[in-house]
Amino acid sequence: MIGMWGSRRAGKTTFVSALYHEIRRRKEEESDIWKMVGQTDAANELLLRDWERFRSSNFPETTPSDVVAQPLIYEVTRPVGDEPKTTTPARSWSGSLRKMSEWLIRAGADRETITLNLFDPSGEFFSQPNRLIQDDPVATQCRNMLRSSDGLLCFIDPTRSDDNEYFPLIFRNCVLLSKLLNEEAGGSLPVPVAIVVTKADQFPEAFRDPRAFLRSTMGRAAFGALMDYCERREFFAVSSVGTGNVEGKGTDFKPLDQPEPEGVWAPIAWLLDAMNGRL
Amino acid sequence: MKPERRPWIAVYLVAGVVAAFVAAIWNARLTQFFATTSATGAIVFFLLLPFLVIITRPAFVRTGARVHRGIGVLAAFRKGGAIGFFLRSLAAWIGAMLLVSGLLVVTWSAGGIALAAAISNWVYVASSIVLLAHVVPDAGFIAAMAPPMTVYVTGAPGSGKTTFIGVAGLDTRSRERGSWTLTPTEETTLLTSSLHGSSQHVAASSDAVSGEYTIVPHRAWSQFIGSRPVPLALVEVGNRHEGRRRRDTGRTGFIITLRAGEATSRASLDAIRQQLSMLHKLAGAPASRIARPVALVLTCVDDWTTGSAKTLVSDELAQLFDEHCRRWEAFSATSQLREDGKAPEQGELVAAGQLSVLAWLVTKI
Repeated sequence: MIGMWGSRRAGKTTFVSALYHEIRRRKEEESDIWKMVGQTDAANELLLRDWERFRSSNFPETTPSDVVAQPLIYEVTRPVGDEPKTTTPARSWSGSLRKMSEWLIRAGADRETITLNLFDPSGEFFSQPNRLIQDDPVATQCRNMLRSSDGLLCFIDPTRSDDNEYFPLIFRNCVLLSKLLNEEAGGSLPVPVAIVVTKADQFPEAFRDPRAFLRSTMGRAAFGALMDYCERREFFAVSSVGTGNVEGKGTDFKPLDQPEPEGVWAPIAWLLDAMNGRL
Repeated sequence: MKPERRPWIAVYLVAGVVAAFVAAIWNARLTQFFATTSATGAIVFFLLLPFLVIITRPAFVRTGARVHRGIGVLAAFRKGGAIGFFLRSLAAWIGAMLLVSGLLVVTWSAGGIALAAAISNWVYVASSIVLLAHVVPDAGFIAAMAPPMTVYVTGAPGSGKTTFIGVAGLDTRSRERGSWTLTPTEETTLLTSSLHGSSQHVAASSDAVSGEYTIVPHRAWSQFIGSRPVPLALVEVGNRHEGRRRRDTGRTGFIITLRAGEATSRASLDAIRQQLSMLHKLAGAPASRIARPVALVLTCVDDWTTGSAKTLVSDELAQLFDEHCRRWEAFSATSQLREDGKAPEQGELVAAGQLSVLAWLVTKI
């Protein structure tokens, strides 16, 4: 299970549609092995409804905060050897051993099928952390899903419309997640976290160095809290629509043309490897 | 069968097969080794090894949605139920020993001396391999909560009491950071957030504040016996009042904050004397020296250094603390740490040193 975490309009649902778009593009341009198939009604519904909207140059609707979110389960098939090259060394000798045994098992196979289980809660839980600790079915479901997440996609929106500081929000969310995943002991999150700068098409420097970009955008305190709580982390910059492919003002944005997602597969690929102990 | 137990079946099977090969190939050598060294030692070893294997069997401890492995006997002591664990282990050991002994007697009386030796050698080797697998450390688990601790924070007005309490959870610079974690409660994150962005950090409030944290020491042996979280309350003892006094559980410590620039002034000595007399009352030791640990924290330091800051304390001040406190230590802490020669943005919190203070206090308490 991968939990998606980020504020409203950070682009979580759009990210899923962009992921599907990216896999379709790869299937057409790189290899017909690439495939992403929904395994649940919620997953298929999202692909049918939101991806159609996305393809017709509209962003998907924001996830409502009063509906119990269902996990989005997809089966993704990718060519073997597609794993992104990473500079992160194996964490332990057992990690290296597992990596080697997987390599032996997959030797000769040309494809790998992965079950991608995504949880896309409403951004309201991130924007108003008090909401997450409330005792209603939606918040309870959200807490349970986050608690059983094996990895997190943390979406940071550099175009936040409010003028509030990042620190209070990031700090409170980090502490809340820490208490959810580690119970009362707290401390750093026990799962890998892909920290994703969304809407990077508007900030080319984010693609060059997402970590440095976040540090300057969020400020030292917020960035420090994020680093402190996310011990196993990697930084990514993504654009769900592609550079120069969006128009609008304030919070009302619209893709200009067919989306051309950039960097959307990398955080998923890294998380899958990190969750499977390959990193 | 629980999923976390499945890999262990494979471990035991592999250990059994490897031990069978070793016993088959080096049976004579192993028998000779045990026979020529010490027969009594060999018997003790033969009985002890399986018992160690049984009591070190994996104990699976759930933290949140994750399951960690601990060493059975240590986890039982740490989480309770040690007597039941010991009795079950004893029963399993007696059962195993009866089985093996019966097998040895049967093969021996049937004339298969070499086979009997091979069985006992197999037990030695298989037990050694499994024992080794049992004590290989895991990521560690979270043991039951320790009894709560309270640290009273006092100091002159403007010396940074509230800031210390509020920013403690943001300290990522202290050298203890690698082995200690300090996580605030939801309420305390609100205090921290309220300090962030304010130019002076603390509105001069007439209310004494308190912050609640969970502090966890992760020691080298925590991988085997788990880490024990300690609920830690930092309670401000106000300038003219004693703050929210808590039930004294005997697990208390004290912090006196002092602005670093005032460490040598006459006025600060008088103020510290007042703070110490207040601590005497809080500690219930009006005449004798305070037995509870006392940390003198020099705040607002420009050049923060990790660890003791006793060299920054004047002789007079040190003498005063020696007279009043049995155990005291000086530290420096800041919430405005300069990095790469740059001060933080206006109101931004960049904390350092607070965790060193709290780790020292928790260790001493």
